[in-house]
Amino acid sequence: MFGSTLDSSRGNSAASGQLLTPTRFVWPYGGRRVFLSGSFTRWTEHVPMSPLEGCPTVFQVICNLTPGYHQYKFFVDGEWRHDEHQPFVSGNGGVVNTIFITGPDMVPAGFSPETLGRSNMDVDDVFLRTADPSQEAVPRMSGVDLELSRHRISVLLSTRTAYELLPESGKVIALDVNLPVKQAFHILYEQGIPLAPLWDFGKGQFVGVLGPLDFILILRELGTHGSNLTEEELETHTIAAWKEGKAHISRQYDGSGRPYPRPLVQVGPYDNLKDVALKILQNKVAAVPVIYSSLQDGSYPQLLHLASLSGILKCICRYFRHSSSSLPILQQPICSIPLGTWVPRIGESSSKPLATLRPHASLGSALALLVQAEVSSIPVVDDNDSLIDIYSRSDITALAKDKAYAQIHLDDMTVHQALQLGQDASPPYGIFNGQRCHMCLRSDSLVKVMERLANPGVRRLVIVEAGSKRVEGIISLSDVFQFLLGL
Amino acid sequence: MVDMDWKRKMVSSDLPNSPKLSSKLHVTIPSPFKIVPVSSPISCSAPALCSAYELYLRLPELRKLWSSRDFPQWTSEPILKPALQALEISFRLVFAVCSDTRPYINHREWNRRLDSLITKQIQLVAAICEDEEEEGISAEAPVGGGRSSLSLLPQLATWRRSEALGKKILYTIDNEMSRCKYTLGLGEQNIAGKPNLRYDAICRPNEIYSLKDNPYADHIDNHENQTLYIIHQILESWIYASGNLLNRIVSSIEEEKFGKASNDVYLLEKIWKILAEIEDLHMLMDPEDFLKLKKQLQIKSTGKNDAFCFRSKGLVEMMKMSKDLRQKVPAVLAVEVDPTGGPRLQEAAMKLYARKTECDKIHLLQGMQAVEAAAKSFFFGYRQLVAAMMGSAEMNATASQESCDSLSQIFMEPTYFPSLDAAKTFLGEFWSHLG
Repeated sequence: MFGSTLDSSRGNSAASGQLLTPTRFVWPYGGRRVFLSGSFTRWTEHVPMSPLEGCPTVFQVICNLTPGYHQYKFFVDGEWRHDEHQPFVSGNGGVVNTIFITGPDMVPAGFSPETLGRSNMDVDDVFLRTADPSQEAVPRMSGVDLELSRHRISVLLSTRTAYELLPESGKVIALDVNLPVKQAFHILYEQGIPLAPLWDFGKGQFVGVLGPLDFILILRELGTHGSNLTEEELETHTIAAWKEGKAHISRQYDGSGRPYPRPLVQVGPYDNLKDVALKILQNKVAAVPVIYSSLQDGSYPQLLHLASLSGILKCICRYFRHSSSSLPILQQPICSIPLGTWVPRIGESSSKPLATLRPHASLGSALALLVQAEVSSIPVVDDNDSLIDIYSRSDITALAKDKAYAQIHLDDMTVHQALQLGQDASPPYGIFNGQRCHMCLRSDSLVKVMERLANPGVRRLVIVEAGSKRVEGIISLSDVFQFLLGL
Repeated sequence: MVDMDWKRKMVSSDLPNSPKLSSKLHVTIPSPFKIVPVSSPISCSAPALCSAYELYLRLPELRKLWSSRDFPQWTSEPILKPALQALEISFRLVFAVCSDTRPYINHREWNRRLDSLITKQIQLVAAICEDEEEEGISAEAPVGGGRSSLSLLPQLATWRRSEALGKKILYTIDNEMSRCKYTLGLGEQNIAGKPNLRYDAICRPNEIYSLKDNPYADHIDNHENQTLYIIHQILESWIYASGNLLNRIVSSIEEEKFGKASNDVYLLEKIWKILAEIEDLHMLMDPEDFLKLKKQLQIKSTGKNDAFCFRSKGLVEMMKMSKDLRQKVPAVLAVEVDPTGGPRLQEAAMKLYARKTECDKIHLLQGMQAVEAAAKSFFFGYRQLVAAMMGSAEMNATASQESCDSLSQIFMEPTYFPSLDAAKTFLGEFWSHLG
């Protein structure tokens, strides 16, 4: 039993030295006794076929076939028959059905989804696809592949804990809620971090997170309701006061009237990675603080890390790097899987339109779009829809440079100028390999996309057309996780 | 292994004198290739042979006992009653073997085999009782009253020759029934003081005992006649129980009680294995006495493709019903078959196996395939047994030159579950590629 298991493994293929492909043969036209015979049995052995469970007219048998061209025929109640709905040729011995089995690199015939939809046999599909090379051969994902891959990822994430995301050494920055907002803004800019948890000394616990959305909202407050919040006030306005004020503003943006204060979304070091990922996705946050308290009641919490999807994805990539075949979907091109947001093709209606910006659009409109569309970044394109740059929520901190925010008016500044400001400042985050904008092609495999997204600071990839750089879509970290976790 | 040619001794109008040809279709395939037709359906022997078998075993009388409903509220009665009767008849076999005075009998092996067989039957009875409790059937099993006064077992436990085995059986009942709410009440210790099943009222041991002699008991002076007779009565009792069990499996599936159906399907597998063990008792008969009995009872093969076991209508029916369980696979997988031949069932099975969320269904499908394996191995074992008892020439006489015999056809038949088979092939293929 074990010997045969070894034999069937890929590295040590069958004794004949060739890999055998299990192939399903079907005779759906009834009969009392149906046999299959063919070149693969040297026409001497007749393989009995079984009537399908609950359908006595459909006969089926599985045969292991070597790669190559095979002929076969059915022997039905004493009569040689061929199936006209399966490929056939006329030869010396009369009409025979034919099948072509490609090599071991082929997706097993029974697994490819086209065969599921087809009313007839899977084998002719294999035949057609390989016989016509001009046909665009995009291997589509099988439902079973997807299920198994999701299952494996789910198992991996459920057995790993947030503890493993912690770097060997690193620093975490937390801000006191009594710090003036303006100072916080500068600290984030100088430290080059997009967000920081907030510490309340009075309560002795972490109460929230200050991130780019806060600054976007503040700047819009400054810009649109200048009278309400002045630059001078910003000097004294504390984070705590802002968060209270934000509650009123945020109600304007999301009509839900979310109860305030919203409890801090946090995880513990022993939470499994699947829960961490789900928490990030469900709360639509960029990162969650990993907080540890040695006491039962959660007092004296310690901030260990800020867990983001990027770190979890890195863990997945690291784990499957050398066994990518165990996740069959990894090799799928991204255009063949329901992943990310795509520019709708002509005639297609998309539920999620893809927002883009022109470089001369005002910063104010860009920020409004970021807030209203609930997205974290917007591709900046030229008149031909070719990608120039991308404007992300976290780019807002660039405005802290030289107190630029104090001098500009959001509607006067263009997105292009804002990005220029950021490039001069070049904070360490958001830049990977000196590149601001990370792109991929529709034909790239999922594993390639995942590996690029696992790099720190890369939160999304813009899918562009090869050559023209025309934007075709965008894939964010959370898109990848929603797909991998099957949400 | 029983067949009687009654024609010379009985004048009966319902036994036609027509040639006893198998009703099976004999198909020769006009082809240059050697073909083994192996999917012909199983069928009974000629009616005359079947009724001779029935009369010898007094099956019409037994059937009345198996099928009587004394406790209509008790849903397990149709299964448990023939099971308990099989057990009671087994006690008679113990008695017959222990009182056998032929010096050349292998008493030691008989005792071991009987011990093992009775233990397995008690285990099955206990399993049926346990399942009954799990299902929480409101109509409780009939319990109460004292212990059985009619069963043969208490006597076996006191008689010098059978004392050891009888006591062992009582311990076994205590052990095996320990998870049930009641016990059989055959004189076992019952330290827990559980209520006794109303064994005498259910099993009617006195009426079973009244069938102790076969129609030939008077004029055939051959001790193996008694053995052969009892062995087949045990066999037929279990076959009858399986018929009711199979009906219950089918209705459980139709009611989507897959957990219950999977329990029952494993009981069925166990019964198939017990049937094989019962048949194997033939090996302990004295070979010369047995062959003499074969002549005395006019047991002979009637030609092609007619194995002796096909004289049992019940066995043929049990085989057909076990095979027909496959018709329920689409219902279990909750998909309809694609009449054009698409692999819908196979895909559904693969998903079921991979997701592991509907365990009851997985257990049920595995159980169905286990039944197929047990049934096929029963017939394989039977074929070997016939050859061992009567000589392989007897076996070969039933097989024609071109086609293999009807017994081989059964166990050579391709899988009953082609979609489950394919699902496993492709899942295996899938994992082997993942390395």
